[in-house]
Amino acid sequence: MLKITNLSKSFGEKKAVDDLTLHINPGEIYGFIGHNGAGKTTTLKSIAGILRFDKGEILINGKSIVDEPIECKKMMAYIPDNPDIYDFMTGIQYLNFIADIFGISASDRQARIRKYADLFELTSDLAQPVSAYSHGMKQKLAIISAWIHEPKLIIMDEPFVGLDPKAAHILKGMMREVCSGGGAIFFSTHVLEVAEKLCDKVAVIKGGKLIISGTMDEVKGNESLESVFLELEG
Amino acid sequence: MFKALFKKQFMELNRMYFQDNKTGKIRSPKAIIGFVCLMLFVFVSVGFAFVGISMALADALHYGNLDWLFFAMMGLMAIAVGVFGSVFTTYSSLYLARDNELLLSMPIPSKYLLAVRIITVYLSSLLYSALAWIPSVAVYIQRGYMNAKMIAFCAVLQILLSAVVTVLTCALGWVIAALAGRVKNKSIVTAVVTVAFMAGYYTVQFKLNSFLQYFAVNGGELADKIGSAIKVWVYPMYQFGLAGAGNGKSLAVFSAITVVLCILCYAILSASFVKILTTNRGAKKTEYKEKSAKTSSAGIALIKKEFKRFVKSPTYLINGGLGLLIMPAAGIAALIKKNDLQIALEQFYAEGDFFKNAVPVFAVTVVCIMVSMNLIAPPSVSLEGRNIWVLQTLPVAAEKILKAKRRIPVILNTVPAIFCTAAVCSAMNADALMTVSAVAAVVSYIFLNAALGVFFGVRKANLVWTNEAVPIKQSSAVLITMFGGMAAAAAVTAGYYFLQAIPASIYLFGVAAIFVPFILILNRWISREGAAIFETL
Repeated sequence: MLKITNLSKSFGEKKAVDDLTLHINPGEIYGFIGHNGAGKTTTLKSIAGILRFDKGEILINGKSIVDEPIECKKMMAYIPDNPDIYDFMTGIQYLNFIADIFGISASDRQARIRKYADLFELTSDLAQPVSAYSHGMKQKLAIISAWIHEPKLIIMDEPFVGLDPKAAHILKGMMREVCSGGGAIFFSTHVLEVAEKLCDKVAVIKGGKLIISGTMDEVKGNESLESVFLELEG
Repeated sequence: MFKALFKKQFMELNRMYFQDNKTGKIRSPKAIIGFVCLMLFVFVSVGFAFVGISMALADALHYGNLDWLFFAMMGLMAIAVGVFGSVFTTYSSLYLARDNELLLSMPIPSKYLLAVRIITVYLSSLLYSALAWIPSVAVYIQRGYMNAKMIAFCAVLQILLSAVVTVLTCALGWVIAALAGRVKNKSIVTAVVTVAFMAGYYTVQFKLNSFLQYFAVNGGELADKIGSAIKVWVYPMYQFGLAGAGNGKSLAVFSAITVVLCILCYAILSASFVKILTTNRGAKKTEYKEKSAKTSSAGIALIKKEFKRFVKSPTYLINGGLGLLIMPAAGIAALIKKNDLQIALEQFYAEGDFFKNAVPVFAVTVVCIMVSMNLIAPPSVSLEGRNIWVLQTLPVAAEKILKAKRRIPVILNTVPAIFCTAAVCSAMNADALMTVSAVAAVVSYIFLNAALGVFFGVRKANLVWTNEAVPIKQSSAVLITMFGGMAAAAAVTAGYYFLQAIPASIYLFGVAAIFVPFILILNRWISREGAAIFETL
């Protein structure tokens, strides 16, 4: 589903991502862990096609994000760490805008908006302007907008930040549902307990370099993910 | 602390004009020189209008021993220009900065915060009021009517004048803020107050021209009347005028009045500053009721999104859409005042054949200038700001996104501009061919102006701002497009001066045709290089 090969990206002299290679298969929830400034967001933005990288290749379902960006973007959704959404729109206007861009039919979008907005208890707020939303509500709206076009690959940067425990629980269920349907999820997180319980595979990045990746068992063995992470971070 | 706040405010201004938005490095000397030259060009161009007015008044008032009246009148004009220039951004500069919450959460006394923001307004007031005041003083110096003492006093008066402008604009900003907090639709309140102010301003400007004509005939009598009115109604400006004429006591009086006004204004604003910033009465919650969804194509969805962005921001609406109101108003005025226009044109035709033939061409230039005032496209890229990720991650080509940004000004300008052109042509009794050619030239210009706006919008994009007035009003994209557009509009009339042997209608068809390759080149750049730049912003 997602094939990252020898990805490198520098900002001036600083190498943000250094020769990163990762493969994510359909049906996998893949966690991406690293300290602040390790290169997680740079990697995720490169996958989403909003940051040009220096070297390497990113393929989504066999298509290059550089050569066929539109085709790639049709298959995926991206949720940034800070969901800055158009505050001049209402929630429902924003969802309809996204649905229009993805060409979702009226009946499909209506059904999906109803389903996810009800799940996140956001339905009654959909007529409100986004400027009146809290951080968590914006995050929920960003999640609904990502799910509205049923993407095969979902890229999320710290998706649980700002969500209440119930919403976080719902999101985990939704992530599992995507993967059960043959989709894949690649997300960064600092919450190691969440990664440990939710992810099929995990990758740890440090100073832009991948230091370990694999199934949860391969990475942590009998230890906790936290102790492995702290040991690797050294 | 005050110094740190001051530094932060100026870092923002500095970054906007002199730093590369992406790298944060100082722009190249060439770019800085280019920008300074542009600013000087703007200053001199606008200043020339006041040179003309000053020359019309200077001699009569000086020889009538009414130097004070000259300075008082020019001071009033400088105040009007200063208030007009600054008022649109004062409300957002004082109350709507994005860093409000960050700064309020810090142990910063609100008086510091307010003072720093007022200083920014002061600088804007200084710039705009100088546009009228400096040319007036320059004319008086050139005529040899001023001594060193008067020049020094006039320099001090410029500083005081800017403070008065600051007080007036801050007061208006405060009124808007106070009203906006109490009503549901802030955009409409702000727009209505601003348009009301503008209507007043243009009425005064319109009257000023009649006044100058009348003054040329009835100078002495009129000067006495105005002098008496100023003494009675705006006594501080009487003192201002006397100070300009070299009266030290009056300078002290006017300085004292200004200081008192500043203290009063600061006290009033300070008393409610935090309250206004922290009061969020919120709008009444609108309950969502599911309706059958209406679908649009991606292209239409992007246009709708751009339109919503435009109408939901009072600053954008006022700064970018004023000409949309002026054009139909001008068209209606031309039809209503058809007879007056005909009489005026007869006098104009008497000046010679060129003037007779050039009138429709000049009318096209005027309509094009009104179009160039509608700066919708240039700030549209920068206004994406922190939301840029939304468009960049959607499966829609950047070319299509920029096309939507280009189409909005075309859609909004076309009907009012065609109406205005057709109405003016009708009022001038132009034939059908002339009307069609004028409309063709104007429509072609609308496309050119929109493409120019997106071109500079992409090239000068600045996604990092704390106040939306920065990309809407103060960005180099807006300034360059506005003056570039005005230059292109002026070139229409200037070109006819050299090609006056050609009938005006044919010339205007030619103008429409000449714009086409420029439109195509700009559009090609936008869809290739522009799209590539947009993808990596």
